[in-house]
Amino acid sequence: MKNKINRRDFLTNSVLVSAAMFMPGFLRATGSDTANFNGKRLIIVQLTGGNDGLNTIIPYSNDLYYSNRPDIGVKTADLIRLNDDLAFNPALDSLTDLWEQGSMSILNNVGYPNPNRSHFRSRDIWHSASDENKIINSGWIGRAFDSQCDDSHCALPHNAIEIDSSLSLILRGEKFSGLAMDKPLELAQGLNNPVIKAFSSLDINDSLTNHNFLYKELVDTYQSAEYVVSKSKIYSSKIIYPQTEFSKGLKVISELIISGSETKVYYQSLNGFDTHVAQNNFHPRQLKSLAEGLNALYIDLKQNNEWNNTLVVVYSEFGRRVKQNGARGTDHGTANNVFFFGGNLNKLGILNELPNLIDLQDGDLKYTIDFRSVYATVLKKWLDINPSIVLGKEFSMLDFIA
Amino acid sequence: MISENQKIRHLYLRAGMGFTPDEETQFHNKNIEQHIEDIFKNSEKIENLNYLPYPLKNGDEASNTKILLMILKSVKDTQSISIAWMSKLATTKASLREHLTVFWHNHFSTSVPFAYLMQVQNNTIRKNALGSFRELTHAIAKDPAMINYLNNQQNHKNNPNENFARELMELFTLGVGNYSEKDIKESARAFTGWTIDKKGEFLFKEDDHDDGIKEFRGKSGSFKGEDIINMLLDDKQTAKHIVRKIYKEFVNEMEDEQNINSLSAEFFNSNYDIKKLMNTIFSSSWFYDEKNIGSKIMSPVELIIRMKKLVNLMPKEDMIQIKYQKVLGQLLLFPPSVAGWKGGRNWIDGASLFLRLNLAYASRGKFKINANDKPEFEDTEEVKPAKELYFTSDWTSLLKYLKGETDDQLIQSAAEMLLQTALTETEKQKFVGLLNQSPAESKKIDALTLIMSSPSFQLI
Repeated sequence: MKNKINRRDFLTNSVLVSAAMFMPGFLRATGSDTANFNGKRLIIVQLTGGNDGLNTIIPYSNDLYYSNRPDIGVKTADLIRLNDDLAFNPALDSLTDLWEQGSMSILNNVGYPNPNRSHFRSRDIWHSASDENKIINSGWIGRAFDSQCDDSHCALPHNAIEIDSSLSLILRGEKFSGLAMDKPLELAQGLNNPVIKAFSSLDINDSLTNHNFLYKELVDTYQSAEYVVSKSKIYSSKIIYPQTEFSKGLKVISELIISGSETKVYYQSLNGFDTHVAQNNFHPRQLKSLAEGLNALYIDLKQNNEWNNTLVVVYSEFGRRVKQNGARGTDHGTANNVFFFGGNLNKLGILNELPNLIDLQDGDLKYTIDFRSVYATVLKKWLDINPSIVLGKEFSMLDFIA
Repeated sequence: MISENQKIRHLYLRAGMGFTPDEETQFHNKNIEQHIEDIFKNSEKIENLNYLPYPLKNGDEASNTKILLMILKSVKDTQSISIAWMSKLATTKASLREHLTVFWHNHFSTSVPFAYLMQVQNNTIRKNALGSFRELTHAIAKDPAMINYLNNQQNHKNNPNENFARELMELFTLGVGNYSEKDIKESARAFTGWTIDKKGEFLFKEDDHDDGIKEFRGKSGSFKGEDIINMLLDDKQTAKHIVRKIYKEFVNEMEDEQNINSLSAEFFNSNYDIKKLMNTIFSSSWFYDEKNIGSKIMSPVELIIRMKKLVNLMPKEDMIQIKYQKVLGQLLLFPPSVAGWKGGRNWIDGASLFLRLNLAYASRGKFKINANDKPEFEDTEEVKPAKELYFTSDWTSLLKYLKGETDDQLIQSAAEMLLQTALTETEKQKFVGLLNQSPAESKKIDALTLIMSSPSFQLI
């Protein structure tokens, strides 16, 4: 049956019903009613520029850390100790609650074979989940949604939202594409265009021709934009977020979550991590921005009983060289730590072995965990999607979530 | 039935990047064959981009400090060259040569932090854009920006770097799946010693070149880089790979195997004569088939150039246009990766579609469009709140040619002027309905704006 339901009326219905109707594929593909991501949602934060993981989670018990970094090593007196070996950079002060209350874990030495030290290339590798020597023009989250499309319908764009003016590779699939927006208000500006409005309720069944494709994209985007704008009016956060752009983005995300938006995946980047020069003048400020933002998000979601359904993954396109450079900074490196936050983590704290500062490759850390193991785990255990379809091959499962 | 005028418009939209309203009124003076002739004749001229002067004094080599300074200024300089190229694209008579220069820039996609070398490469491409693909490939293999981009200076006799060899086969010639890993390893050795000197010029370091026997695609010999390129071009698969890409850019994303096969055979037999290939395409009756007209989603560059030609679209400052191109996903000289821009439907996502559809209204100051480009990796500040993208425009020449009195006639006329697809009943009904609400004094310009805000306008 061709359903003639007006999508807009439909949007005002309950989240569950509309989610099921928008994405029949979600139900069909997995053949069970546990689909639809189980009401869980994923927030991905990229620390753009290459975060210096060794100055973020500091291996203070290792003398090599201090001998490699005589000027930029963080002094032991300032550290926030996590155990006998590792400590937070003091700028991560605001994460202490999350750490102590069992909402954070740290995975060390994440990377991939033949690491690429170009920002662009390494970012694309992380976004597309490709091998180092293969170029894939779609993102892993985009493909996760692709795998849920049926013949003619994919999930609407707002199922994966990026807080930015333009859409990154990570949310672009072959068929599905996510929705980029700075904030719902700016999205609403796009709706002022009378032409967009006039065509927004067209019923288009296929996108075989580019003509149909563009009109369908218009309809889908309009409906998604309208959905997001309407959701954004439901809940306005009662807690105070820091006045950084990054935190403002997280506020948009938490308001959408608390308003019951059916969005499954959010993506946001925090930049300013390319610390080649005078690192300690800049890096702590970025870490502080990260920590304060995440802490505000945590408080907001927890107060509204949404923290248990939320998983936050924080990564960077690469880490940095173990040895400091001549300008009191660090150069592009390789393997790095990945952080997980959420109320439903299976394993807490430090998940694996410490970074090995002796056995280096060209002065850089060697990876022990392929980043795609993180993706495979998130896909299978959190989003209920077959990882090998999305990633093209098998990767071992990790246990940070159950 | 497709009118002669529509065919000529199709020709100019695809071969070049559109036409001005005044130019269109002259179309009927010549037939298609004469227009094709004109297009090639006008593209004989090679107008280099000379935005940046050679940064070194004659005979000098760059010092490390000088190199560092160039790198620091490079993004800004390259953006300026990119803008200068856009202006050229909007005004040049040699529009086919420029369009092909964009095409080959995408094919031999390069991005290095040396603005001057990007300009050198651009002029090398332009010179060969309508010539021989064989010569173009040889020239690009020795192009300093390419050597830098694909790490061939790090391709040493005793420690080969395979980056260039891999992309040469995967992207530039055969296409993925038509070679082995061994072919890559062996051919990388043939390119050892190909590097650049501190004057920014190609240098063959004989003592760093591995002149041993290489086994490459079933043959063995002490091949040099030039031999490898010639062997790749002697494979018909290369002609097919290139023709397929040309076809998708200039004819239709939906490939027609029969057309591609016969074009490939001709391209191969002509020893890769690009001009001949393009001439065959534009002279073929299938080029003007209904399914090929209005089937292509304009690239961001094509959209902006078309708007410049139609309504003299101008950014308030160059940075606005750079931002706009970045959010739409295509800033020339800054391709996203060695694979270039993917094109077609990949240009479109919700945000970019709305930014495209809002451009005509925004250029009239009717409402604002806000957007921010993604920050550079090196930026130390956080993302700034979205900025207004402020454009101006001049509609007088378009308005001169708009015909009709009633809403219905105005919409019909605007659509005929601006769209390559026929108005559907739904479109017509909606546009007339919207024009109904316009005040009498702005009906004409509103009719044009409505059509330019439609998804159909994105198709050429």
